Amino acid sequence: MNKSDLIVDIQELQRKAGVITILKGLDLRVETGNVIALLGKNGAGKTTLLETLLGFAFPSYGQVRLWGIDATHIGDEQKQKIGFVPQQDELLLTMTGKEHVELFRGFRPTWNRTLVEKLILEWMIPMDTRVNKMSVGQRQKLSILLAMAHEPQLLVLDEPVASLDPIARRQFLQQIIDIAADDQRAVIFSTHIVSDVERVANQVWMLHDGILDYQGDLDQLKESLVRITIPREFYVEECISLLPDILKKREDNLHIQLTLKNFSNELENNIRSRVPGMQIEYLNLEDIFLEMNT
Amino acid sequence: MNGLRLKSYWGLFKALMFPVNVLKVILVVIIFFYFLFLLSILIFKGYFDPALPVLVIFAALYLFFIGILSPNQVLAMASSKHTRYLADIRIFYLGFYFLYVLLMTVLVSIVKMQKEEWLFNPLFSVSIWIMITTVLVVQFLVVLRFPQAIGLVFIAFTGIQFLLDKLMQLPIGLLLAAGALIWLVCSAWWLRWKPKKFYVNYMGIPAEQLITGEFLRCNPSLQFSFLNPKSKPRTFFGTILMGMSDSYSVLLRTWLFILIVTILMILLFKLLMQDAFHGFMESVGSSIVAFMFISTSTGLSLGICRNVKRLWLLSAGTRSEFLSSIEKHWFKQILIPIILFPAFFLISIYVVGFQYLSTMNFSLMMLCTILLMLVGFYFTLWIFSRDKDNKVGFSLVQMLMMAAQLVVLGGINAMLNLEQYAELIFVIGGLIIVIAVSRQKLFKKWNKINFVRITC
Repeated sequence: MNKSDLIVDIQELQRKAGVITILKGLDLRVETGNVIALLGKNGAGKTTLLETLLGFAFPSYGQVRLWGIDATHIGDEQKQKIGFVPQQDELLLTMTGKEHVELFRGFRPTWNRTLVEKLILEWMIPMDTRVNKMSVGQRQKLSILLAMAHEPQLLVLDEPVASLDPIARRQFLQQIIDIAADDQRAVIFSTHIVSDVERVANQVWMLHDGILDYQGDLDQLKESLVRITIPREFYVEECISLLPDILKKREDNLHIQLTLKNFSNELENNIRSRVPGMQIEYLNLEDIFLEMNT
Repeated sequence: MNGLRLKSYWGLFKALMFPVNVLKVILVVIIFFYFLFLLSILIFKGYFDPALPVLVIFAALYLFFIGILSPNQVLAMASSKHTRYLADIRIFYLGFYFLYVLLMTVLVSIVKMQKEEWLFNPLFSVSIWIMITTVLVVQFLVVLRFPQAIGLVFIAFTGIQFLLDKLMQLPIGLLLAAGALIWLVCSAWWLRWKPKKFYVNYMGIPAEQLITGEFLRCNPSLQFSFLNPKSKPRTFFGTILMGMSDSYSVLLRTWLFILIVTILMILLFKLLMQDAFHGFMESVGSSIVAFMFISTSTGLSLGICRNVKRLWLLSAGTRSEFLSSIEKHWFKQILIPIILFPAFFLISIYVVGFQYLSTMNFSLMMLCTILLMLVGFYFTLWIFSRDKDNKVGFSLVQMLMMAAQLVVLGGINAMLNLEQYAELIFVIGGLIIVIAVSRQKLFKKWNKINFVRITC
């Protein structure tokens, strides 16, 4: 990997609030071309991670670097390369959408006017309406628009689709796909809608109680986590010794069901020969999320 | 309403109204002062004779606070989708207020009787009953129409004697009939009222949101819309920092609003206090004006704390450059009040005959006001930058700072009245030191500031 491809470099990141540790020693990297979905239950630390990553707060331990610079000390050059949509929009209540666009355009050296006009039309944002009269979804669309308009190299979105209707959600995801097509940019977005992740993300960060349960390629995750069902008559305790990374075990009268991490073809061949009648089920991301978080 | 239902409503009522932190704090403060009072009379007089009447006064005071604060709670519950359909809840509240007014009347009557060798004056009690009822009705109307002005009912305190004198000139029969009519009309309205919107419960808003104004983001209807006119933003930085257009017209409008409210308040004082007005204004008038300016300016500083987070990625420089820009912007902000302050006094002299301050005293009061505004700005931002993850601590320090500003202002006012200029120079010097130290500490701390707060 070329050094210039590295956008975010997080090492041993810890974030504490009083006696509670919210982020517990995370090591993460974001490179150009990454579209990263940040998944986790409520309270897992997703927002804290994104805000710390952008330099809003100091790590309690470890370091966060953006383009090689400490995230809390970034200057104008780095900030202009970032687009951020917070979970709760931070628009100015008394101003209209049009006024927002004019105001932000003045601050950004680059501004993709065509994209802005296209999104306004597609997303039907009422640009002459004051923000305090807009619906939550309209505000969310305006926030996303303002974060994308300057074509940031790093786009960070904290639950961007939570308030969007299905049509707007699809349109938003299309925008993310367009950004993903540009190898010079990266996107990190947190979400609870895992079906969206499967459409656009190529990387997944799965956060659980401040610890990363998984970080890496989405396809690899889907291939490495499986549910195997063994008929009870063939199940013997020795099976367990063959399966080192058991995440869950369920039983009923007829079957034993095991969810496995770090599954591989080699492991599959190995146990298939010893456990007849075994069924392997590859999970979708939603099931993977549930298996890892419940 | 049967006994079982009453019991369950009482549980709901207690859960939703009484554990409110504000009421708890008020109760603790009242108990503290009561025991302080007992201790002082024990030390200085050696007996407890006034203990009972003073206890009654404190109890009445506490009930008064419940009366002032509860309409907001009750309207919120009556308009809330969660609680509005609970059967008989409105009858329960009606009963509560009826008993409340009765209890307040009894307490105030006891205090009065104690003063007059336990002679019962029915005319006085009925007048008090009508007054308390009226204050309660007015408070309900204020919350319904102008929830932002919820605290203004405290002004009614100044006119109590005036209103009482007027009421006590009327025949008791007429007063009873008037009181009964008020209750009848209000009860009919209350039992039939169909709320068109949810009335935000101020008591349910966490203290830190209340003090930083964060709740206004969630409840834009609580903002005074005329203070946020459509106006072209002057600068990107200033507009994001203020959370609204930073044009001079908006600033002027904000400060003019403060000025008009202050003048109206003084006029109301004049109307209600009659003869006592001149003495009152002579002693504290300039402090009231100054405090209006100082608290508005502190409000602006709190607004800055609220908005710095969103500016982090939208400002050009690093953290320390960011702070210099904030400081520069704030100085531009207070130019307008500095210009308006003398204008206010000129208007006041013309409108209310407010001419107690000599040029010398006026200049000194203006200087002290500006210094206290600066203290408010630097101290607020310093505390904000220190307070890493805890919003509640920040709110508490803010309240203490405003109380301290009020006390200092009272002291300055007294010194000006007594023409103790030498002592005043020490106070001014002290304020300058506080400003310098807060500024230095602020700049030192700001490089390590966390813009996001996590409340655990």
